Amino acid sequence: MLKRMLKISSAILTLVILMSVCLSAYASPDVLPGTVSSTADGYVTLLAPEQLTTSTTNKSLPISALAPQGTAVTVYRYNYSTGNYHKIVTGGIPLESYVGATSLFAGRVELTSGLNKFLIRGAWDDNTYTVVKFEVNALNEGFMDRIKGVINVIFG
Amino acid sequence: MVKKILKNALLIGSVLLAVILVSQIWFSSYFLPDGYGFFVSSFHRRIITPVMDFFKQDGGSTFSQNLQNLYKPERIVVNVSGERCAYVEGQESYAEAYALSNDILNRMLTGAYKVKSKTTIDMDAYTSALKGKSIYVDYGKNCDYRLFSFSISGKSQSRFSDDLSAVSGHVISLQDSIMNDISLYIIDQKSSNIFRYVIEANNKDEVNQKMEELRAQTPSAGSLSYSFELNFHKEQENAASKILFEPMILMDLAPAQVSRFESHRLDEFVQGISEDMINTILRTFSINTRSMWHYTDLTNARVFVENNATLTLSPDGLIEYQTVGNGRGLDISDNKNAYDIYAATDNAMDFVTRLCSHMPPEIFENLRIRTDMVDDADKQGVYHIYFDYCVDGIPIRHKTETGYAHTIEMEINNGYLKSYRQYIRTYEKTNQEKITALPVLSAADLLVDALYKEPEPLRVQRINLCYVEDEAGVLTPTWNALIGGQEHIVQ
Repeated sequence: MLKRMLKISSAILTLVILMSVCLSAYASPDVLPGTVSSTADGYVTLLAPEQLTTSTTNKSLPISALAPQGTAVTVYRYNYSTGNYHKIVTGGIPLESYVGATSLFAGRVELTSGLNKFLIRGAWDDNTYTVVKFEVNALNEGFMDRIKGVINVIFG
Repeated sequence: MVKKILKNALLIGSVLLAVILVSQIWFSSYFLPDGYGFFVSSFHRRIITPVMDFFKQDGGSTFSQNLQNLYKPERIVVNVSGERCAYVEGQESYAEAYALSNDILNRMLTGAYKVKSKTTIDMDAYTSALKGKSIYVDYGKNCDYRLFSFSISGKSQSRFSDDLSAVSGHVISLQDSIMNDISLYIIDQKSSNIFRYVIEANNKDEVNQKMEELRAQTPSAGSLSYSFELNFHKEQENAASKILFEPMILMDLAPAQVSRFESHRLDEFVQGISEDMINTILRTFSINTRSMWHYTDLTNARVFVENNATLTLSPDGLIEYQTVGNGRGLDISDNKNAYDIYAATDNAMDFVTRLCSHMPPEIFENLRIRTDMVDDADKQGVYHIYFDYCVDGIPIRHKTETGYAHTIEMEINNGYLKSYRQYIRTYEKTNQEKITALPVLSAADLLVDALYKEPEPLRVQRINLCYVEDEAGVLTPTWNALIGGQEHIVQ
């Protein structure tokens, strides 16, 4: 009888440990294929940038999103050499977090000159996620200043 | 003959005795509790100051100095070459950034720069100025324009007086690169009008260069975003928002690392307050040392009671003055006609300066006014003015049984001080490792958990880091949010 109880207890304990390992080990993949698409709707809504294609002279870009509480939101950058999206990691810290009671996610990414492609992924689990792709053209300030200068001279 | 000499001696003795007794009554007793100081202070207050004020258009320089010490921007953000640098007090280069923005604004207010045009713009135009080359000066509180102008230019009336009643910050923009123009963007908090003044500046290149120098010597604040950039200020069409932030709130998305500080109570208070210190404090509160009565209570606090007021000096470093009954309070104003926020701020700062001048200098140096300095039409003449002790630009609040007290809380009613409460503390930065404060969005999560009720979103007017000092003197960093006019400290 005691042996049986011991076996059942061990089984329950093992199950609990396995479940906790599964839960804590759940994280977004480091790399996503360039062709990745959503498996479900509504797990992330991009708030900023407002348009899926924008341009800026700033060297960094604020990114924000709305997602249901408990969703894991991760930001990826497109790598032209691999053709995949790679998780953005700054100073060893990935740009991802679980969304809390506000349902808000926010982060900031550095831009490189030219076209920057990003993907934001809101995942409930490994198989249930929404992705949104967007791109930002980083212009240098001198170029924008020249355009503004011409506009000022003509219309100022 | 002997009788005559005796009579004269008696007469001379009587006269001398009379002189001594009268002088005792006049200079050492309740009749003139300040002794000769009464004549000096009275002469200064009633004759010298009005004469000086007459020759100076905007009053004495003291108020100007007090205002500049106690009212400073909470944050200055310099946006240049696509990068953003933010400066708070205690940080390297804050003074330089403040001096640069003050110099430009002073020239604008005093007419050294020529105004080319004035337009009324919308919020989008205001926020777009922040994305370009600009300096954003955020005071974190609304301020009567006369006080604001006085703090910058030393004059309460200046160029934009007709347009502006209350302000909380401004943007100096250098966006137009080929013109010699600098634009000032400023919101009148009373009318909500947003003005853009285009100003012809003769030193734009110099300003540009200083901004570049500031950027070069400061690490970029890469994680700092305005709420409007994140679209956290707008309700979404597809999903219900639980929390909205005012567009100009600056959010540091990375967890802030803040220094550890130790709180020290003044030995004077802990070990027993000296008679000199007591007399000085009593004099500041105009408590008559002869007519008052005093006792020491069970907590070892010294309590001084006069006709209509009580002053308590606690050993834990707390000064409390409270008018009782129908007492008018302590007269701290010479002019009570049309008493408004300008006079109340002047009187409050003057009083705080006088009281703190008898204490270690760091107490006054680190005090900052915390309340909005604007008139409230519903309570004209009645003002609650608060000051906080700030370390590294972060205010300290004192945890009490009923809430979180400011370092100084005073109530002024038409020129009379009704109540005053001040924590006397000094703070020292320790060499221990820094503390990581909760990220702002995590603090917002806690606020939603505690306060959100469907369907109305929480509207955050301000959210700032602060330290909370508990009764044991331990300082913990946390967030202080202003929601619907009410403060909520996240714990």
